[in-house]
Amino acid sequence: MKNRTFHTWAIAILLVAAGFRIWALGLKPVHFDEGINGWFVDQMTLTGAFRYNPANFHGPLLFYILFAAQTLFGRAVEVLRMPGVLAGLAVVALAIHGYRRHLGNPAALVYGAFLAVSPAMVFVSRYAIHEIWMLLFCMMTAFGVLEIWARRLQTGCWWLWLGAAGMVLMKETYVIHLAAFLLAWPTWLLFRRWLAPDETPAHAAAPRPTARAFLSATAYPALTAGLLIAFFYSGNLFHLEDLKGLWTTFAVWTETGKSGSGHEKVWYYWFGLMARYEWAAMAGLVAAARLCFRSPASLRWLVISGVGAAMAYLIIPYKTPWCIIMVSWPLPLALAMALVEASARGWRVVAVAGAALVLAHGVWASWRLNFINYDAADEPYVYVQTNRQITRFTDPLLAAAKRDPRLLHAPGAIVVDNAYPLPWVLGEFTRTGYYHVDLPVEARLMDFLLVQQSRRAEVEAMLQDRWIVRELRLRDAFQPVAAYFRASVFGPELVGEARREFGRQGEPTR
Amino acid sequence: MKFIAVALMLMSAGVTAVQLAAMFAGTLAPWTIGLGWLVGAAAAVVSWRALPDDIKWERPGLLGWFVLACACLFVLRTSLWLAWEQGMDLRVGSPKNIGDFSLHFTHVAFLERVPPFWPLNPIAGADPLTYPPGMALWTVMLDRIGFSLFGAFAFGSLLGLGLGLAACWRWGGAFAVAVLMCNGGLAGWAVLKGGVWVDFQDGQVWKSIPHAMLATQRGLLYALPAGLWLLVRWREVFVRGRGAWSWIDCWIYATLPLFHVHTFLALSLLLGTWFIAGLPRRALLGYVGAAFPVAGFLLWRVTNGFAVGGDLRWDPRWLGEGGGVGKSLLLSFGAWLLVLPAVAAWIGWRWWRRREPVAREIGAFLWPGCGLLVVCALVVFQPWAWDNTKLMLWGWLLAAPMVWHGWLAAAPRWGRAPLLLGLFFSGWVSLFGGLLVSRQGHGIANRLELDDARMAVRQLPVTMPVAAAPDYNHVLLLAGQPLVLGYDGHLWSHGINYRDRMVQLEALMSGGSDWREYADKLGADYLFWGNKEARRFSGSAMGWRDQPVVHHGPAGTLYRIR
Repeated sequence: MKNRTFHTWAIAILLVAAGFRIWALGLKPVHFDEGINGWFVDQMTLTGAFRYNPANFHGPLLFYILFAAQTLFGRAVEVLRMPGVLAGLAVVALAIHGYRRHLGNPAALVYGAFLAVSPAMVFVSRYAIHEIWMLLFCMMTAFGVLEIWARRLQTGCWWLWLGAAGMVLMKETYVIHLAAFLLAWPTWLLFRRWLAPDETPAHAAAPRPTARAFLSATAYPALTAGLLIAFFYSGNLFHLEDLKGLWTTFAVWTETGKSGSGHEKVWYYWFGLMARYEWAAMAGLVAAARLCFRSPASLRWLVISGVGAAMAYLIIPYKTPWCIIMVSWPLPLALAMALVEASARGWRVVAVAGAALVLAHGVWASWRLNFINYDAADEPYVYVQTNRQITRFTDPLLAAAKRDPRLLHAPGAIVVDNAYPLPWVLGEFTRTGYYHVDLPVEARLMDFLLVQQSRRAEVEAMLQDRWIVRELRLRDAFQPVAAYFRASVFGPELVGEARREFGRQGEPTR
Repeated sequence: MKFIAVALMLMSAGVTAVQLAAMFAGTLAPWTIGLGWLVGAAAAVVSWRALPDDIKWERPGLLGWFVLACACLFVLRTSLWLAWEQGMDLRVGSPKNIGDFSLHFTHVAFLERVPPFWPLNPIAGADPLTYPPGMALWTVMLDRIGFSLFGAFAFGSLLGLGLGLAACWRWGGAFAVAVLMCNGGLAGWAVLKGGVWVDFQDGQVWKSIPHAMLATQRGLLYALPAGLWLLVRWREVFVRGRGAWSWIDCWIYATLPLFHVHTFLALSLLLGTWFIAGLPRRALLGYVGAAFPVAGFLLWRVTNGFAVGGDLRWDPRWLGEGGGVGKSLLLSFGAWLLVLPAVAAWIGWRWWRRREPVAREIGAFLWPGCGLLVVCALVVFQPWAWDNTKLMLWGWLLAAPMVWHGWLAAAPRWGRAPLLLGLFFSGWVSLFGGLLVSRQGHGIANRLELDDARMAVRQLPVTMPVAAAPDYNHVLLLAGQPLVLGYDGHLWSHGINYRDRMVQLEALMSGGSDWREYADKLGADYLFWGNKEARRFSGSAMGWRDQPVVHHGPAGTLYRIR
């Protein structure tokens, strides 16, 4: 394939990937986890650093990335999600431009195209959560190893160490992937001895680097990685004691991984997701088995490590759907290799038809999932997702604050068991209280309230004056809630809606 | 190097275009901002094509990486925690930025309200603006393309300081970056006594440059990279005689008055010194002559036809700030007091006795730099003596990096370590000490009052100055409404003649029977009465109390008094 043709296709694939990831980025309501991540970002602004808590949530880097985005571009769901979109595009770009040195141009393009339209990749890239970054850093680490294998020592060491540092800084599950990378090494040695020898790559003729050369190339990258990890985990060096969280977290994490978190699933959960959404990964499972037997050494190692990590995810009972991208990412690569090989062996029509089928399914499934059913409870990828009805509560508030910025300081109360993502969405409202159990005694003085259905009578007994009441659901798993807006304050945003008089008997009025 | 010039061209051409278009249109209309981006982008593309390919950058060693890492930490910390909203407060990160950020925020909020152009001075509402508006216009340009208002401030800071560090690296490597970020004398050694780690240099006149200047003076966000880039270029063209100056060199120099007049003056002094010293006079004349029309026009514009100026006076004690000059010099400069004169003399001897070309090249910057430092130590140029440090900064950046080239680079490695420690330890302690005290931020305004003031000013023409308490963080100023008079510290240091008006304002706010007379004299149609006014004019008779109320809210009451 000519260089020009390759770049044209590469740009086209990246444009498609960008379209899927950027189009209507704010369509999906802010997810529960996004609300928590955003809340942490708000805390960073106030306290000056992110304090790592090994018992709760993940590594610090994502919060710094989101903090930078929110600081520069303001509070908006598109702003919170855009860094993830860029990470998602970087994944596709790395697959095409980085991995092509090892896969060859056609396979890299096909692999990039699979990732560009994968429903999971698109769905997770459009979230402000850790996984897409984790994948990017994981692929960087693997790419670093491939580069070192190809005798590009200096470049490879930087990719390897910065990728590994990024994984450590992102999420505790880095240990699964680093272990898979390491254990793939002896497994590969056993495979080449007992199953079949490696195919010979072009760079095999180049001299093997000496240990001294390797140490020299790895010194600066390793030092940089270590400093970055120490810097971020210690709250910008302000809290050096937090560094011990780097290992104490595993005591907590192993418990979470086993049971009791509410996220336990059957071992074959991932296969169900792949069968429904990720056909490239599903077909890639078969192709991966083929690559384990016959491929250049580096790719063989990569596939073994990917299968190893996937097996770990199968065993761990804690399963959330966004981890599918970490489970499946090398599998489309294996399929791409297999299709290109089939094409080279004269099965061109079959290969093209296969690729087209998988891509068409990816486009269709991505479109349905990301732009139509993005909050539908019957889509397995839609998980702990806030219902689109949340805007029935937040839109009038945000519109009113735009009309009159003083309303950012209107008193309000949120009386629901689990309020996220509201603390971030309403983060600019300075006098909003969150009450889990007790009703605020001053509820009648509030200008807006959000109350669980079961407590409406209690609240309404405390109210006076005219209010506009809306019913909605925050999440499908929760009971409905009622939003109360004081008519004298939010009337202009809720024209035409019935007003209810509280504090004395009366019928709804217009 | 190339990217620095391209970014500077984007900023300077864009801002100049906005200014000229707004002057032509008579207002800072949205299309002028769009035009600014177009012109800036075109200038960036053209300069990218015109500039030669970059030469290879010097790769940092371990110590260089350490210096760069410290500098980057400062830049990120200062920029991303520049200002934020916290509960009911609007906060700034640095305690030194309370007054300065308030002023910059005032300028930006005022320009955001699309005032007639050339604009009024929001802190002296009857006068034209006599403050370089470059960075405020750049902030408005950033805000209009999607940055949040605070984000525009933060990005401007990130970009300017990032470019400044890159240009500084180009100017003198790791040593020059340390000179910029870790200036200091003996004050910081106090950290070894134990106790709290703070910016020990804060009590001196010559404070930590990063905290006292880079974090607070937004004009330097353009002027620092521009000035250092020009020094690198001038070294090549005028000192080493390699190549000729280009229109890009000329434009970046000529537009300096739009951002930071002190930098323009300091660099012009350097060119003048070279001219007298006999460096290629023809080239120098051509260069200054080509820059003169643009620079002269911008200087004339930002000084209102040279109506504001300095306050030149002999005051060799100002560096002591009422205390001992010697002690202050030792705490501020420490080992540099010995090293700089010694290296200047050594270089002089090498040039005089051996005619070494290297000595000439080093001396071309070292001697004018030392000269500027000495002059600034003896003569005060502006009403507020501390403003001398804005000129001293350039004396420092010219002279101090030459210590490396003139001496330390040739010194044995074992000897360098204690010298570097002696020169930079105190400044390094101040650099981090200043960051440590700034983590929780410092309030400058109440958000409820500010939002209320924003509602109030929607009812007022942007050209109508309001009589109110002259304070740097008055909510009306932060909401973009000009006041009859703002903070007297700013008025005084900007060289504005305000004393008579201040007397009249105080008489008006005191609300005696003659308040109408003072309102007429000041041309004040509106008067604001809020918490600050109640505190400052607590004995006011409030004679205008019965005048029509235009707005009443948590911030205060706005009266129409004429």
